[in-house]
Amino acid sequence: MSKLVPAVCPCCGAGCGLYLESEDDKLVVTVPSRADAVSEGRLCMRGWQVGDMVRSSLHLGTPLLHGSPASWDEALHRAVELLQPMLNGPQPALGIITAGHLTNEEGFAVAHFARNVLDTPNIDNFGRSVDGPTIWGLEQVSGRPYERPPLRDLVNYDLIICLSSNLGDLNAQACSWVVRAQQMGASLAVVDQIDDGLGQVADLYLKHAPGAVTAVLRLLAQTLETDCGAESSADLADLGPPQLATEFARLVGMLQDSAKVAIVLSTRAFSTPHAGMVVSELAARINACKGGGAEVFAVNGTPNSVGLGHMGVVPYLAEQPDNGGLGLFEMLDATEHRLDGLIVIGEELMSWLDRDGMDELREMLDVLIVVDSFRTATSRLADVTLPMCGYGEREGSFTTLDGKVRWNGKVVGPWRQCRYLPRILAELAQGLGRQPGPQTIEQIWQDINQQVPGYQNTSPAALRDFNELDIDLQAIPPNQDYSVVEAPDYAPIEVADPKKWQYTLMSRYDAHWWIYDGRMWSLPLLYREMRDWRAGHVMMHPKDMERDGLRPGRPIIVETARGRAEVVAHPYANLDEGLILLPAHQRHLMEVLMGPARCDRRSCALAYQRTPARVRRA
Amino acid sequence: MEGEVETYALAADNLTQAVQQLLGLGDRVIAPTRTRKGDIFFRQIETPEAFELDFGNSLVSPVQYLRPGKEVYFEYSLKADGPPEITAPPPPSPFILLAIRPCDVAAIQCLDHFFLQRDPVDTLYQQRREAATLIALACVEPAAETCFCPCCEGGGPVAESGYDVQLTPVGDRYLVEVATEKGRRVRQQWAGLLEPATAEIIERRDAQKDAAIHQLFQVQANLAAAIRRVSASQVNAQSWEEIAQHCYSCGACSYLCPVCTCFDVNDITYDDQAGARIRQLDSCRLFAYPREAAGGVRGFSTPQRVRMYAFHKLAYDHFQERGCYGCVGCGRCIITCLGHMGMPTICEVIRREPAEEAGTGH
Repeated sequence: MSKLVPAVCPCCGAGCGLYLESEDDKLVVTVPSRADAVSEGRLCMRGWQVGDMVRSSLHLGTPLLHGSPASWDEALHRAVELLQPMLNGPQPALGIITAGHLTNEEGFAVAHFARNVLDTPNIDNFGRSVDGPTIWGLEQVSGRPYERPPLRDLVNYDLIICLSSNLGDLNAQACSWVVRAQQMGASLAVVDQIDDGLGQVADLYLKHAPGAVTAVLRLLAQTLETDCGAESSADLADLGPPQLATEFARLVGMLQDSAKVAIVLSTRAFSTPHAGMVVSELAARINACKGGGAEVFAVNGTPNSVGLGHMGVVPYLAEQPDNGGLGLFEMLDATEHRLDGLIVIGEELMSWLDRDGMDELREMLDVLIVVDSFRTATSRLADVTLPMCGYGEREGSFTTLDGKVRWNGKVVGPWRQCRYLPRILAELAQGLGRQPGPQTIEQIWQDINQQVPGYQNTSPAALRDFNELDIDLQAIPPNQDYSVVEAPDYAPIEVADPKKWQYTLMSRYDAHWWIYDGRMWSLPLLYREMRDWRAGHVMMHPKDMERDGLRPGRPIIVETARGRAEVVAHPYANLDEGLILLPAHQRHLMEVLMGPARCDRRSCALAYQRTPARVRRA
Repeated sequence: MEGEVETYALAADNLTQAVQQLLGLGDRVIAPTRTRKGDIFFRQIETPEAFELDFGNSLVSPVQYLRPGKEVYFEYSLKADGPPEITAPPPPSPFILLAIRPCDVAAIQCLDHFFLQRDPVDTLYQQRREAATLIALACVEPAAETCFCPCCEGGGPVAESGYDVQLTPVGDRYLVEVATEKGRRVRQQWAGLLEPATAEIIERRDAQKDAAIHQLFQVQANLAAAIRRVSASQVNAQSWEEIAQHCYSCGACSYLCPVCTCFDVNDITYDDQAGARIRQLDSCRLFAYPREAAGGVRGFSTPQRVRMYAFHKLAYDHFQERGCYGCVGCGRCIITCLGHMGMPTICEVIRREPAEEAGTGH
């Protein structure tokens, strides 16, 4: 008889409920849940494929020493051998980076391991790259922990302002609710520099200049300040094409006519505090005008960055704000050489660094230990790789932005030699001669109940029974990870010699690179496509490519005043002519061509300066 | 159907006892059950109490027991001193699909055509099909607000054929129709519970069926008009574009469609020494569906894939080969589509376009 367990999709932060079904512990399929309040039976492409992920051919089955299979004893012994000298050093030069899809229980064990075993405050999760800064910005303005209304509430709003035309790629479930709301009578306004699809079906599409979104939103808030926008005289000359002024006035009119306004913000696309602050200010301004009715619907990119923050997988703990460690970007910055050793848990660094960046990082580190369920590019570079139980192989909970703790059931046993992450960490602690942390779900929850505010009334038994429980988000102290960053106002780039620099290079979080579709986990053939996307690449308008004699998928040289790089060019008709889009997971490439991020490295992932550029065939 | 359909009546109060007697047959009984979360799934039951009668319809069709999402062709095990050992999965033990809706019965007829009436016959499907006894539960009203089975050729809230036994609620009784040898095996098991059907109960069943078709179904899908346009290549490119604008390429419409048959073949490993060749459901709505070995085909756009889906459903396999629609009106695509674009809306977009723009989609 097959086994069927409820779970939450680990692919983004929407929190779609689903079931995993398994026959004989071998084949696992995804089954949607009609009764789930978030998904109501709908899943995106990635959600449908998570069953394949559980028993994937990419699953790591044994420990590895420099890529070669080893026994657990050998691997643990080697890991301890590498870590021990660092623990005895004068400065903590060790860091831990985790994925945003670890469960709360795993996160709690990792935080315990970092602070009590390794004695390092350098701990962070990948939610920082896609969620944390924006949420912090929202909280900074409102002064209280951010709690998103349920996505299904979108159908109750009259006007939806969506700040990403590629919301369908970034957070498909959120986009589905936006479309449903529009079908039920809401007006939809899309504000974006490129229309990746949602603008075409929107009632109003505000196209602005690349990088000008926060300036447009600020102007909108300022306009509402005077008589709620009754006499709009905003100067939008530099912020977009000529029609922007008309569209802006229409949006002001729509705001005046709407009693309830939702602003949908994908944190994956705006991972800066500044964006969160501007959006929060706009919502506050609308509320001041209309006496309420405006809400921000932030949709986060990772499934459990919220819970991991609560469990302490962040460099600053709320109760110890002065004891801050390094954040994600600081640990990955090979130019500063802040770390000698790094433990990466469940994350593929290649998804943020490109190939050259990975090589630089490896060169900086004396020790790289990977704990993961999958064979990754990061594990290939590691000294020691330890296989851990992954999704569907262990129980655990996620916390979502709407204040729910949701339970993931266990549908199959551990794959081959994989072990539960808290057990691996406890074994390492024992090897290092330190006190191990809790190893079972029940033990971990005893500690969570005592130590994590807001989680006192939750237990694994209750979660197994009810699948989800409310937590008190307001009881959880806001994190102390960021400081207020005043982003510079938008200004168009001035190019001294337009004939020489014909293009503008801009970055954008582009989800295409991780949407591989149904064969994502199951076909080695896909390696080829992954390799293509992981090689440095940009997107250009087909007419630009044709005019400059550039062939799709072929190498080109992109040159800026700062540097040059050989990349592959792909045609992308949604772009304006004259723009080159650099998908923003290629951090190393962005730094070569565009310079460092404008804000502090702890919080700014995407705020790269638009840069004049030129291209030629390689 | 094998010979004349026998008709009986079963008192509604005796349904639990009937389920108990089915369990005594020795076959696995797979029936609608409700999870703690509230979802309905067809699962093996051990007691009559697990059978959820008030279920509408399940989001995942019970055809999964005939055409699973994943199934093993063969398993291999490497041997140190000889050729690898290849093992085929054992044939499934007999099972009863209890209370499947008429739309799913119609879907199984489509699957029978695809897997059994072509050359070669699909032996995995054949084994499952031969092991299965279908006990349909007709609808007296739409099982869900998304149902549109009367719009489909031969479809409706009461199955005309394809079942072994069909139960139709009529007042405080069920009309029991026994159509096949497998059905007569069930009838024998129920012998003490059945009585001959009266003309009155059959008339009442027909009347309530007509009333349901004409008054209760909210969703309408003009499949006939859409099929005419698709078959005559009269659909223009803009229509496919419009549908594609709402398509997230998730594949849900075909994963949940009880009629869809596309599958992909993959090799998986259990460990260093063992593995399996499996097949799993595939979807023409996915980006990589048309990709060939070594990544040969790329850039098959979403509108083109939408067109392929519509042609398959509304023309090629079903209508042109069998004269039937490739849609049974279960409405699962409406529920599961992220873009809220189920088959009725697709038909509407195809149907409504002006004729003078036609013909540019090919």
